[in-house]
Amino acid sequence: MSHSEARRIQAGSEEVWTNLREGLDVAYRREFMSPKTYMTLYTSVYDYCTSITLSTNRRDGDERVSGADMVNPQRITGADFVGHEMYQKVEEYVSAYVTAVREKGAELSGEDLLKFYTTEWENFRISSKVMDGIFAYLNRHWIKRELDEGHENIFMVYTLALVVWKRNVFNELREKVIDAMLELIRSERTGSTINNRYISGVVECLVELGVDDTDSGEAKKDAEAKKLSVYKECFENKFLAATREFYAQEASNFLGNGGNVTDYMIKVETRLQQEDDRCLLYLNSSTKTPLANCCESVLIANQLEFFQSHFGNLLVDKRDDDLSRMFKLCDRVQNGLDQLRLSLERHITKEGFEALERVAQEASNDAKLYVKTLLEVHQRYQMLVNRSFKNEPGFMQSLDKAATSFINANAVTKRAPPAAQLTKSAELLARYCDQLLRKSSKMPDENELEDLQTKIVELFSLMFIIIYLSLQMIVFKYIDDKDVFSKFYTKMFSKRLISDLSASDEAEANFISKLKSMCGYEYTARLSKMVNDTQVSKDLTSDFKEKKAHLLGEKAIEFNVLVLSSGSWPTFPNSTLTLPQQLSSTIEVFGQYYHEKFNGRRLTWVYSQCRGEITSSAFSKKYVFTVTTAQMCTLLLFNEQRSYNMEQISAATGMDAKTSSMIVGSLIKNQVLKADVPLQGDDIPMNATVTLSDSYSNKKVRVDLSKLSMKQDAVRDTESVQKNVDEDRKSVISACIVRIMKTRKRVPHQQLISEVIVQLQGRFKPKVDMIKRCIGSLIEKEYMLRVENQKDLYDYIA
Amino acid sequence: MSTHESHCSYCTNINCSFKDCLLVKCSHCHIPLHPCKLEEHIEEVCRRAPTKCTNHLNGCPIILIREKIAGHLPNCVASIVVCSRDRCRKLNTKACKLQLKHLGRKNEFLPVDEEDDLDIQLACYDQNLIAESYHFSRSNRVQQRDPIHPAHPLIPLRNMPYDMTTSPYNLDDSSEDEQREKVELVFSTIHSNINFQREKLKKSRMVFANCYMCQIDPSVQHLHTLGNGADIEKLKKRRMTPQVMDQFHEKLNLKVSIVIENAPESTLKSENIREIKKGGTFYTLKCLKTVRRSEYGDHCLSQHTQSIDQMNEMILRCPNWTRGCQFSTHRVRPKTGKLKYHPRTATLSHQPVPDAQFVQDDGSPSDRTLENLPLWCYELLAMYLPSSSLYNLSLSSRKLREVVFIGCNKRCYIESVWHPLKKGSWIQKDFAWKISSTEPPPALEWAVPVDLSHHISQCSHFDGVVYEEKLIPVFPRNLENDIWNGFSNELSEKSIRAEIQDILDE
Amino acid sequence: MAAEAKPERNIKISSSDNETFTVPRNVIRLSTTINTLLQDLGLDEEDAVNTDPIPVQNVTAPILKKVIAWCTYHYQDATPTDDADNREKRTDDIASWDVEFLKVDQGTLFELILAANYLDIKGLLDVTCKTVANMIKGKSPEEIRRTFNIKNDFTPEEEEQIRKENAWCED
Repeated sequence: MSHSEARRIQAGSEEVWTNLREGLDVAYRREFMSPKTYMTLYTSVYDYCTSITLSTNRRDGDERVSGADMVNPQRITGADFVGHEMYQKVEEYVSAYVTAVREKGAELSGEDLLKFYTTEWENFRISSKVMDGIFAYLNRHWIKRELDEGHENIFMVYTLALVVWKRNVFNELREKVIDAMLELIRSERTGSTINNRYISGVVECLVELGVDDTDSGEAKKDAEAKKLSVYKECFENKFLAATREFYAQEASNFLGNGGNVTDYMIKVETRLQQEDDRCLLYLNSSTKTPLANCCESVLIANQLEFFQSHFGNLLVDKRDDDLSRMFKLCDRVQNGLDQLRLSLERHITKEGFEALERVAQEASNDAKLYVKTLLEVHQRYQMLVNRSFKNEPGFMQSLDKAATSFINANAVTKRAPPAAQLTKSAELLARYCDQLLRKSSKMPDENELEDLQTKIVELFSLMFIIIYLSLQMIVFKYIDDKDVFSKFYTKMFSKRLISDLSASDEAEANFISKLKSMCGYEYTARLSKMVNDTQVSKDLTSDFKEKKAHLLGEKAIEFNVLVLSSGSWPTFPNSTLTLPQQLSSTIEVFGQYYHEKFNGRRLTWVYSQCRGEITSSAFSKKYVFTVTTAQMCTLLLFNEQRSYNMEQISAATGMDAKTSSMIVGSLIKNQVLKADVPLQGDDIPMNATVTLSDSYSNKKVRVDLSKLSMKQDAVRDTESVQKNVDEDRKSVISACIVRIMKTRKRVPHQQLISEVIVQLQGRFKPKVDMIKRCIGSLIEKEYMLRVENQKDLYDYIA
Repeated sequence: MSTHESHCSYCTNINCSFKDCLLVKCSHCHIPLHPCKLEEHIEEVCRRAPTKCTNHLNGCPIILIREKIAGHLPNCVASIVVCSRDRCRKLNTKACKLQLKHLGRKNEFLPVDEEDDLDIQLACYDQNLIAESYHFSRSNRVQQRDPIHPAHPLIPLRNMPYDMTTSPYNLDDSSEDEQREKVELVFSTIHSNINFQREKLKKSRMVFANCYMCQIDPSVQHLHTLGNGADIEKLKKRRMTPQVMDQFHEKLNLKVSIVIENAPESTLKSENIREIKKGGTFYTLKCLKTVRRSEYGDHCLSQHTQSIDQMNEMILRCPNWTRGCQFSTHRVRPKTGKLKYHPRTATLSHQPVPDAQFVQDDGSPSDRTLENLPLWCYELLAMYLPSSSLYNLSLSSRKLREVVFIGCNKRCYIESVWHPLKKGSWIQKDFAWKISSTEPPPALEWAVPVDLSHHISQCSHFDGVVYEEKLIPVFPRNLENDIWNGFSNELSEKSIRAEIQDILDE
Repeated sequence: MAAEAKPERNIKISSSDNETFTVPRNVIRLSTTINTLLQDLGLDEEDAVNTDPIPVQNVTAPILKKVIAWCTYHYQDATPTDDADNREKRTDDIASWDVEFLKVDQGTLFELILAANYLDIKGLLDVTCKTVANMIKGKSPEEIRRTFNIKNDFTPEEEEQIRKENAWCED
C-alpha cells in the first residue's frame, strides 16, 4: 500500500465520517431513524470497508509484478488501514458521548443518581445496539480478523461501547451508584416501598458490563464466570457485607430486648423469605445462594446457642410446631442440629425413666403394663421425630439411642434381684408376648356352639394381635440381650404348643417371621423346628389312627401325640409314673408303630407335659375334667375303690411322696377329692386318707383341673432361665473363642476379646470377665495355651 | 558465600541481597528482578515479552509475545518441508539408454498429452526428466552418483551450472563400456593380440567379478564376495538374448517402462545391481516439492500414497497391454470429478466438477469478472480453494498473481533464496513468498472392474495358440476296423511268407 | 421467533434501481443485515407502522430477485453452525437444488456473492463461493484463463522467469 493511496482514502473518509456522525447523533438522541437512513449508514460503512481493490495503482511500472513478493513484515493492506481508522473514529465518538453523560451525572447522588444512571444506561444500550447494527460490516470483517489474529484491546462495536461506558462512566460513578443502591435496599428492609426498577436497572447494567476487557483470547474458557465478575466485584460483595451488618444489628436488638424464641423464629423465617423474594425480584439469580448463606449465618448460626437453650423447654412443653420450626431453621446451617440431637436424646431417656418410675411398683409383675408404658414413650417421640423433624436420620438415631438406654435399664429392672437386672426387660417382654399369643382365658370354652361368633372375635383379635406384635418389635429392637428373650420366649412358646394354647397359628408364624427378619435365620431356627414338630406330629397321629385303629380295640381312648425332637425344645423334668392299663396299652401300640416307621429313634414319654380329659359319672352330674397325666393316674385309681391313703396312691402311681402329695393336693383344692387331714400349703401329708368327694358340684360341665398344678412353675422358670442363659452363653463364647483360635492360630489377648465381642454382638453383649473365664477354662481343657514368656498371647492347640 | 544466588557472580561480587538491592520490574510481566538479569529475562524467559518467531532466520516476519509463539508455529509461513518421496523407473531395453541420451542432447521431449491415461502421462513426464538429465556433462553426473544410486544419480540433478554451450557430442560423454568398445573397434583389427590379453584380464577378474561391493563403491577396502562365477556365465547368456521393445511402449515412443518400480532404498544394493547387470538402468526420481508443514500430510496423500503409489489400481490395464492393447479401466477412482496431471507443476490435481456444469457463455448483464472483484472476495474464495488452485491462479494473469500473493498471503510460504558464490559455495540472499502446489486428497471410491472381463473376452490383442498341423481325433469313428484290418493284413502276409519259406526249404 | 406465531408479516424492500419487493418476515430473517435493522429500529413490534420499503442500495433488481428466491427456498433450514476452523472448507457438498439454482452466468454469480455479503446471508455466501471454487479447482492456468476469459498478460520474459522459479532446476 503506497502512501498516495492512504492519503486518498483518508480524504474520502472525512466525508464518509461526517455522514456517519450525523447518523450516530440521531441514534444517540434516541430519535426515530427511518430504515432508509439506517441502510444508508450501513451501506456507507460497507462501501467504505470494501472499497479497497488492488486494481487501482499497480499498473504504473511496478518492477516486482512477476516475481514473488519480497518480505515486508510491516505491510498494511488497504483493508487493515481502513478498518483501523474507522474503529478509532467509533471509539472517539462513543468516548465523547459518554464523557458528556458523566459530567451530567457528576453532581447527582442518591435516588436521583440512580434514576439518572438507569435511564441513561438504557438509552445508551439501545443506541449502541443500533450503532452495532450500522457497523455490522466492520464487526464481521475487520474486527473479527483482528480477534482471530489474537490482537488485544480490539472489541466488537457493541462491546467497545460497553467498555468505553465502563471506563468513563461506570468507573467514575460506581462508588456513588453502589452506595445509593445499598441505601435504597436498606430502606426497603426497614419497611418503606422503593422503586426497585432502579436497582434492577443497575444490576442489569453490571451484568452486561461483565464483558471481558482484558484478555480476549482466554475469555472463552470460563465465559460464564467472567461474565458476572463485575457484578460480583462491584456490587455483590458490598451488598452481602451490608446485609450481614444489618441483620447482625437486628438480631442483637431483638434478643437484647429479651424477645422470645417463637417470635424470633417467626421473624427469621419471614426475613429469609423476604431476601429470597428480593433476589428473585431485582437481583441476579446467582446471588441467591450467597445471600441466603449470609442471612443464615447471621440470624441462625450466630444464635445457635440461643436456640439450643430453648430446645429443652419446647420439648417439655410439647410445642411441636415450634420444634419443627426450630428444626427447619437449624437445619439450614452447618452443624446446627448436633446439639439439638443430643438434647433430644437426653430428654427422651429422662422421659422414659420417669414414665417407668411412675409404674415401677405394678409393672415389675405386670408385663402388659410395662410394655405398654415403654411403647407409649416411644410412640410419642417417634411421632415427634416424624412430624417435626421430618424423620431426619440424626434424630432417629437419637431416639434409638435413648430408647435402648431406658428400655434396658430402668426403674423396673432396678427392682429385680441383682442377677436378673439385666434380663428383666427381656423376660417381661417375652411374658407379654406369651400373654398376647396365648388363648385368652376370657374366651369361654363352652362357646363352641357359638362357633360363628368366636370366629369373628378371633378375626378381630388376630388383627389386634398383629398390630400389637409389630409394636412389640419396636421394643424388642432395643433389647440388648436378645438371647435372654429367646430363652424365655422358647419356653413359653413350647408350653403354648404342647398345651395347644396358641390363639392363632398365623399370629405365631407372623411373630416368628418378624424375629427372623430382625435377628436372622439362626435366631429363629429353633422356633421354626418346634412349629414343624407339632405339624409333623399331627400328621403322625392321624396316620397312626388310620392304620393301627384295629389293634387298639373298642375300648381305645381318644388321643393325640406330639413327637418333639429333643434338641430344639427346652428340657422337661422327667417324672416316673406308672400308667394305668388303659393308657399303657395304647402307648405300647403307638411305640410299636413308631419304631416300625422310624427305625432307630428313641421315644421318651414326657408325662409331665401331657393333658387328658376324663368323663366322670361319679357325681350328681356328668362332668368332663381336663387333667394332667399324674392327676389322671390318681383319679383312675378311684375306679377301683372309694378311698386310699397316701402311701397307697404313691405306690400305685409310682410317684415319689412329694409329687404325689402335690398332685393329690391339687385335686383336693378343686374339691374333687377330700381328705381327712387339712392341707399344708399345697401339699397333703403322707399319712392322710383320701376319698372321692361325692358332694362335688360345679356350674360348668367342663372343668380344668390342670391349671392349678401349672402355676407353680412360673417362679421356678425365671430362675432356671437365668441360670440356663449364663450356661448357654458360656458355651457360645467358648465355641466362638475356639473358632477364632482355629483360624488365627496365635492371637493377642486384646484382639481375641474384641473379636469375640464383635462376633457375638448380634445375639448379646458378652461381658469381658465372662470371656476371660471361658479362656481360662479352655486353657485348662488344653484347647489353647499361653505363649511362654509372652504376656497376653495365646496359641491354639490342635 | 552469603545466602544469595550462587549462579550469578555479579550479585555475589557486589554482595547484594533482596533487602538492600535495587530491584526492577520487568515492564512486560511485572516480575521483580535484579537489573543485571533484566536483559536476559526479556530475551530468553519473559512470557509477555515480544519475541521473534523461532523461524525468523527462515524468514518468518511475525513478532508475538512469547507465550503465543507456540500457538503460531503450526501456522508459521516459514515452517516448511521438502518432500523426499521418490519413485523408480526402469528402461525397457538396453538400447533405450542410448536413445534417451540422444533425445536429451537434441532437446527432443515427448509431449504429455492430457487425453492419455495418467500412468502414460507420468511416464512421459519422467522420461523427459531423465532425458533432460543427460544434458549435463558426464563428469557432472558421475560426481552426483552415490553408493545407493551407483548407476545414475538422483533425478532431478542437484543445482548444476546449466551450460547451454556444452557440445552435445562431447567426447567424454559416454560410459566406460561404450568407450572401450569404441576403442576395441578401432584397434581389434590392427592388434589381434590385444584381444588375447583382454581375455586373460577377464579370466583373472572372474572369481570376484560379481562382488557387489566392487560395484557399489570400488574405492572402499573390502573382502570380495566370491563364488558367483557361475552367475556371470548365465548373465552373459541373458545378455545375448535379443531385447525387443514391446508394442505398447513402441507405439507411445516410451523408453522407460510405464510400470513404476517401487524399490525402497534399503533393498537397492542387491536388487538394483542385478538389474544393472542385465543391462537395464534404474532411475530414481525424487519429489522434492516444498510445502508448508501443515500441508505435508495432504501432500503425501494426494501426490503419493493415494495416487502414484496405487497407480496399478487407478489405471488397471488389459493383460495384453504389452502386445499393444490400450484398454484400461480402474479399481479405484475419485468419487466425483477426475484426477488430472499438470506437467507444468508436476502435480496431480483433482477437478471435482466437469466444465459442462457451468454456464460458459458470457452474455452477462454484470461486468463482474474474476479479475475485478473486491479484495475481501478473494480472501473469502481462498478459504474454499486448495493451495494448488491458488498457485495456478497466480500463474494465470498479473492481476491474479497479485491477488494471491497479497490477498491470500496467509496461505503462502516463505523460502530462502540461495545464490551461488563460486563453484560449490552458496549464500542465502533473501526470502521469497511462494505458494505450494498441493491439495488435500479427494475422496476415493472402489469398484469391481467388471468392464475388464468384458474386454478380455473380446480383446483383439489376444495371443491365442494357433495350431497349424491337422488335428488328429483321439477316437476316430472307424478306428477298430483300421486296426483290425491292418493287423489281419500283416498277419496273413507274414504267415503266407512263412509258409512259402517253409515250402522253399523243403 | 415471535413473528412465527403471528399471521405472516410482510416486509417491503427495494432494490438500488427502485424496484420494490414484498418478502415474508420469516424469509428475510436469513439476511442478518435486514434482520438486525428490523430489531434495532423496533419494527418488529405489532404497532410498528412502516410503509417505506427498506432500501437495499447495493443490489440491483435482478440480483435481489434471485436472492429472495434463494431465501424463500431455504428459510426453514437450520442455521449453519459457525465453525471458526481456518482450514480449507469442503466444496463437494452443494445441495442439488443450489447447483441448479446457480447455473447462471459468471457476472450474476459474482454479483450474488457481493449481494450475499452485503445482506449478510451466510448460507448463500457459502454456496456461491463453493460454486466459484469448484470452477477453479483442478484446473491449470490455461484452463482457468479459458474458463474465466482472462487474458494472459505476462510478457514472455516474465513467463520464463516464473517457469524457472518453479522449475526443478534453478539457474
